[in-house]
Formats: sequence, structure tokens, C-alpha cells
Amino acid sequence: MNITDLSAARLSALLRRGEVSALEAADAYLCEIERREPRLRAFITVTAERAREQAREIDRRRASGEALGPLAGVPMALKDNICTEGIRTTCASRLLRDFVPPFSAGVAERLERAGAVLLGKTNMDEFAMGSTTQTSFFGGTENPAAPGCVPGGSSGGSAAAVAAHEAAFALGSDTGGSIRQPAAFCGVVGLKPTYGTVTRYGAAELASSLDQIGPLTRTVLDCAMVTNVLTGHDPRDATSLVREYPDFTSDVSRGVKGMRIALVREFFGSPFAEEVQRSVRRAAEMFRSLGAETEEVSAPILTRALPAYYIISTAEASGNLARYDGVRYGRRAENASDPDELMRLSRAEGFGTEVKRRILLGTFVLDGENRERYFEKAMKVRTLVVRAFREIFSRFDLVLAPTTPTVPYRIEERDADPETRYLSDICAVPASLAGLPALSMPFGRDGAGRPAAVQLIAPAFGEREIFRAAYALEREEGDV
Amino acid sequence: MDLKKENIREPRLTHETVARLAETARLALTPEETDSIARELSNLVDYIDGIEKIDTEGVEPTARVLFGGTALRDDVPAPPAKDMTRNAVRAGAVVVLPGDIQGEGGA
Repeated sequence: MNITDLSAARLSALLRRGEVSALEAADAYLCEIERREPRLRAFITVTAERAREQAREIDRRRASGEALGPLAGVPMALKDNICTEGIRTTCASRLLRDFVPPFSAGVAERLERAGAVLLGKTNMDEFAMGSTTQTSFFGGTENPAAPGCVPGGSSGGSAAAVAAHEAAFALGSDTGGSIRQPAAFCGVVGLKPTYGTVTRYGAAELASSLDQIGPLTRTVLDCAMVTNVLTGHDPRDATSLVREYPDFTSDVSRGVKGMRIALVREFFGSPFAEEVQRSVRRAAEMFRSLGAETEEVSAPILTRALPAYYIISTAEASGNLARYDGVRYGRRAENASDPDELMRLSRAEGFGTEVKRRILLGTFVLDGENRERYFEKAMKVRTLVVRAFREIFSRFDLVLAPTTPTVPYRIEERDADPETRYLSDICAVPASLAGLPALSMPFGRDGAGRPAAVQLIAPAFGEREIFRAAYALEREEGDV
Repeated sequence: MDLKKENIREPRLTHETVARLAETARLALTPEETDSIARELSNLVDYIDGIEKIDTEGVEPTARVLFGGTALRDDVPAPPAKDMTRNAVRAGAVVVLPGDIQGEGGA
């Protein structure tokens, strides 16, 4: 038995029965990290000693008969924009390369309480701006499921770590696809939960009206299991909902008989690659064979909403990143003669090109009359997206769509013009703008063996239906 | 008029505009950076201009989508201020800044 080949659910069962110790599990993963990291660079920081200590503590508590959390002893990784007390948290930026947070994020605390063992902090696009994980100050991550290709982004390190069996699961953050797109590219499962269900306290903000934290896992059941731990009210995040959540694992195997699933016509044809369209059609067929009904609907606003996403996300980012001023934490320029120059130089030295570009685009869309022309207009377009989904979900339980317009592309192709790269978010941003839960799961491979994926979108709090449908598809495909 | 607009090869955002935006955003850019960002942003602005074609007459804006109640919390400073400024350049109780207000920066 190879510990790192087990799903998180299976590993936690063996840990509970004492057939594997937490230390053995941590060591097995750390060994895999050591073997694969030189090439992959999925991690920015590996916390090996701390992980072993945490694992020993779990084993000690288990031996003494203490009740342990549902993830006790399961090794995992956190995206490096999720604060961890005493462990540097860099956002993959030169600006925060030495930043050691004085507190932990709400999700880090929740996982720790559940007994999960932290292996380290994963690579990402700088400040979560990008879809390739090549804009990291620490160097880019390679896709373990498609060698030579980008892992997607911005949570590319988390997706790669899970795909390469360097972690049993990982957390990422998703503003406009940053969990789902890398999950698709690396052949793993990734969920962006309903806005407000998972605390964002202590996660570096990019665009506050869109950001959500969620799991990247190897199976749908693992995804449901981690979602159980992540969801719940946190008074320290003002957008965190006061609400009870069900056990998301309880009815994953109920099947899809009678489920109504919509396919959006505008997610077919150009610019969607042939193999991407084929995967979606094949998934629809499979759902029908399992007893679901599928129907094609038209919702043109969903594919036209991408500019609205870029306006809103960069506008909010330009405000959120104003906090990096070189004064209280983060990189501080050496030769400034006054506080204003200190800010301008610290930011210029600390931020990479993509971050500067997006801050300036965000500043532009909020500048004078542009505010009404772009930002206000984008918020109205967002209303139209919300309405379009509401209309669809008045008749359907789920939307089945592509996650990305293409399969993973080669690292050297990443330098396409920004506009082309931004297009890669086209299938992911509608659910983000509407705050809806959406999951990407692997579904087949293209002719060259690169992972293909499909996306399931549900109405608010529809995670259970998503897991049910995804689980049915995963079982039928027999890939796990 | 549209045709005329299309024929103009000048970037939408001039060097001066980007320099002004950079000043607003407190980003020191070199002249070369300013030029290349002006070119890239011009393309992006052409792209986001596509939003103009979407009819939003009479549509209310949505700033964020919240699906239920959130809770107020007491305004209690936490974690302690001394922890929160642990990463700053400090001299005793104050965070040190260069120039005129050195030593008066206030923690």
C-alpha cells in the first residue's frame, strides 16, 4: 500500500483504525515532496518539522483515546495567500517574501481543529492574479498531469501538489476561476463554494465581492469531506453567513435520477476547443444514461460578462492592494527620502508586472468619469448575470459547462497577450459574479493525454446537488 | 465616427495618463515601464469597452451577492497591536518612517 496514493477519505479511515499513523502519513508525503519538488515547484514553503510534530501530537492524542477531528492526521497544503501564524505567507510576491503573519486564517484554524496536518504553503500567481502560476516571484509551477504545461492558476501550486500526490488535499482561493481552472488543468477536483459560506478571515484579499476559499482534492467525496470542515460562520469575516450546513458527504451516492441539468448553448462553438466541447457533451450523455434530464438553454450574457469581471476584480484589487505601503509590513524600499516616496518605491520594487498592470487597470476604471462608464456599468451587468442564473435555476437543478476553453497549454505559450490569457476565465467568471457554488472535476483526457474537465454550477447552497452529480459522473467514469 | 475611431493607431492610454494613474496608485514606474503598460492597458481598455454594448437600461447595480444574514461583532482590537506591527521597522513604541516625520510616525 502506498499511503500517498490513497484518497483523503480512505487515509482518514485507516488513520482512525490505527492502521496508519499520522507520522507515517506525514513522512510519506514529505518524502514525495522531496522527490518531486525540484521539478514541480508546487510549494513555496515546506514545513516538514512542524508537520512531523503535529503528526506526533495527533498520534499521541489518538493513543490516549481522545476524540479527534474528521481529518485527524491527513496531510494537506495551503495556498500561500492564506495566513498561517509563525509561518511565512508570501502571496508569491517579492513584497511579502519575508512576511510572517501574527495570526492564522479562519480556514487554517478550522483545518487544524479537524486534525489536518499542514505540510506547507503552495505556489500561486502573485497576489492570485493570473491563470498560469508562472507570475510567482519564486518561479513557476509545472503541471504534473501534463509535463511541460502550465498547471493553471492562480491556485496552481495547490492543484499540482494534489495531482502529484504531494498532499492529500489542498486549499486554494477562487476569485474568477482560480480554484476551478487549475483543478481542470491538473486533473483534480476543485470547488468554489457559495459566497459567504467559507470564512475569508486572514486570507489576503484580491477582490472582496468575489473571493472564496475552497478545497482541491483527488476525489469528489474528499471534496465534500473538506467542505464539511470549511463551512460555518466566522464573526471575523463580515460576509460570513450565519447558517447551519448539512453533512455534504451524507447523500453523495444518491444518484442523479430525475435531476434536471442545463447546458448553456453559448459555451459551445468558438472559442471553446473541440476536446473541451466533446467532454461536456459526453458528460451530458452520461448524465442522461444515469437518469437525469438534460436540455440546452441560451444565456448570452454569461459569455459576455468577462469584461465586467475584469472591471470589478481589478477595481477592488486596486483598493485592497493599497494596504501594501512598505510601512507596517512587507518590503520596504531602502533609499526613500519621505513617506510618500517610501510607498511608491516599496510598491514598485515589491510588485511584479502583472500586479502593477491590474492595479493600474483598476485605478483607471475608477478614475473620474470612468467610474460610471466602467465600474457602475459592470455592477449592472453583474445583475444581469444573477438574473440569467435565476431564470435557468427556476427550471433546472444544475448547469453543466466547460471549466476552461482549452486543455492545458505549454509553459512557453503563457506569454500570449494579456487579453488572450484573460479569456481563459470565460467559463469560470459567471458563477463568481453571481456568488454561486461551482465545481470542476476531471473528465477524460485529450489525444495527447492532457486532462479534460467539466464544471457543475448550482444555485446558492447547492453544493449537495453538485457533489451528488459529480460523484455519479466520477463513479461511472471509473477513474478513481 | 466609429470607423474613424478604429483607424486611429494611437494607444487609448497615453504615457501621461498612465503616469497619472501610477501616481494615484503610488507606483513608481520607469519611463519604459510606463510606455509598455500604456500599450498593454490600451488593448485591455479596448476589450473592456465591449461592456458598452450590453443594454443595462433600468438595471440596478449589484455590488456583491449575499444570500442571507450576516452578524455584527463587537469592535475589539485583536490580535494585540504589538503583534500586528511585529513586521514593521520600529524604534521602541513607534513605527519608523523616513524623512520629515521620522520618529513621529506613531504606531
